[in-house]
Amino acid sequence: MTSLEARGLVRRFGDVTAVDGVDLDVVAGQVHALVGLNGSGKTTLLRMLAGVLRPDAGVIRLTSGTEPSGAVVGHLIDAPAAYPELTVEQNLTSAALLRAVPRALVPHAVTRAATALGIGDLLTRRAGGLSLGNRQRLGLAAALVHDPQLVVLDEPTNGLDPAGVLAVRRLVLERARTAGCAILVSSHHLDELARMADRITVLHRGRVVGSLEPQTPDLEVQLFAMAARADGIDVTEELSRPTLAPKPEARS
Amino acid sequence: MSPAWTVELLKVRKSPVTRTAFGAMAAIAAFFSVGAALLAARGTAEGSLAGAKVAAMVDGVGWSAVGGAFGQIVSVLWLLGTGVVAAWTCGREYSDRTLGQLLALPTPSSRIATAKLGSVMLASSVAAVAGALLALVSGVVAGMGPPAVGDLQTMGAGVLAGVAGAWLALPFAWVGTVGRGYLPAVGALLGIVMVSQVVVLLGGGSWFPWAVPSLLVGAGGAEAAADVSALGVVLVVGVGAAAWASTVTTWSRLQLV
Repeated sequence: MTSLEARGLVRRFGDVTAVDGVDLDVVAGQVHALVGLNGSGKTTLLRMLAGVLRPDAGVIRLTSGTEPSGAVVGHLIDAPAAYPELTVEQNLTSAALLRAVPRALVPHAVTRAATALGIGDLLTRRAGGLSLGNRQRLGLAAALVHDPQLVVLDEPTNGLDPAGVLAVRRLVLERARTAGCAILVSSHHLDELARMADRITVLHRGRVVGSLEPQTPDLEVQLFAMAARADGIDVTEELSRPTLAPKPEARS
Repeated sequence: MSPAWTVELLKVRKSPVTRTAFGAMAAIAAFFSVGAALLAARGTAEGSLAGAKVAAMVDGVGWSAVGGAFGQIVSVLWLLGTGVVAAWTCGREYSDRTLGQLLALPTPSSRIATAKLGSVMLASSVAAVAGALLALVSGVVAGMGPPAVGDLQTMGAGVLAGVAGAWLALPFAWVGTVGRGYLPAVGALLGIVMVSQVVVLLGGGSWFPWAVPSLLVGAGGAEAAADVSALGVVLVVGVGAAAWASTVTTWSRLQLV
């Protein structure tokens, strides 16, 4: 069981501080969601935690004592790696080999990952001919093909139909609850996150500005209010105002 | 075979870009060289205008003309074709926004870069040999008879000129990496070809690495070939080696910015 701890993470791009002193814990067996408005620093933070971007300051460590590396971390950030000239099976085989899955175990790992994402019947299809949603499923399968202990997913349900969204939700929950993975996921679909997250952290202008309870109503309103308060804007009046005129009472 | 080599060789074998490029290069080199020799022979024998023009570009007739023409076309075509493929191979993940999937893996990105460069060099070299074999078969089918040992050596020199051209194309893999995509590298490639022409015209071809292979196989005549300096040959080796090392080093430090 591996958890991730990040302390004091900072990343600047020129004069812009994209991530500014973030502390974050992603606990084994839990789904931790990261939310924020556009430009809040979510993707930059996820990239650092996945190991594809070096922080300017701060530390990232796993409680297992191992270094965060591709052997224990699976990530889907940016576009899914779906080489159009390769079949789904060849893409997943390549992903498994590069993630140090032993050659003898690769066919089993490929079949298992493809089946989990519902693309087991597409193994012989070239990735170039897949729909956007199936390419996303392929990318997710590639991220999970080596059975990682920590999973970092940026907008994993992009382009997916409702069946795909459901498959991803079930997979994420299964990886966390059954396999004990620590899962960090970002998305703008707060209703979807509410269905699978154990914790929701709000990021705004590169800082953690609070957390949301996944089971509470109006998460979008809470998120907006939290961001506005962080900017020093009082939105109490706007949020207390009813958004719709009351329905006329039905005649008896 | 290491995972990185397995994956990169698979991509080179399956990609329409590499298959089309290297297949077309082999076919063009073969048919251009045999066609040039046939035209030159006709120009000498029948006073054909096209043949007379081609005869001025190639030395001798028959297999001698095939070998000369093959070396000249290969030394330029392999630089251009391999340059485009090398730039695309190292820049495609930037352009497709999939670079993140090659970083922070148990397989170091420096090994992936080495496999990318090695796969391109291997495929390009195989294409040069295939082009030579295709030229030999085409020449025999066209009625030139079997080539002499000296003609085969000339064809072999042409293959080496192709490999040298491919080796000199490796800097464009580095440009594709630091330029975050293959288009800047294609621009740089076209620039180097034009600069080479100017440098040769100004008399610097004997040492300018991108001009050396074509001069050595007789593109500038026997005198120009004899003038190629040892420095020029050393620079050919050095430019490719430096590009290889720079590309691998750059890949080892890549981040998804």
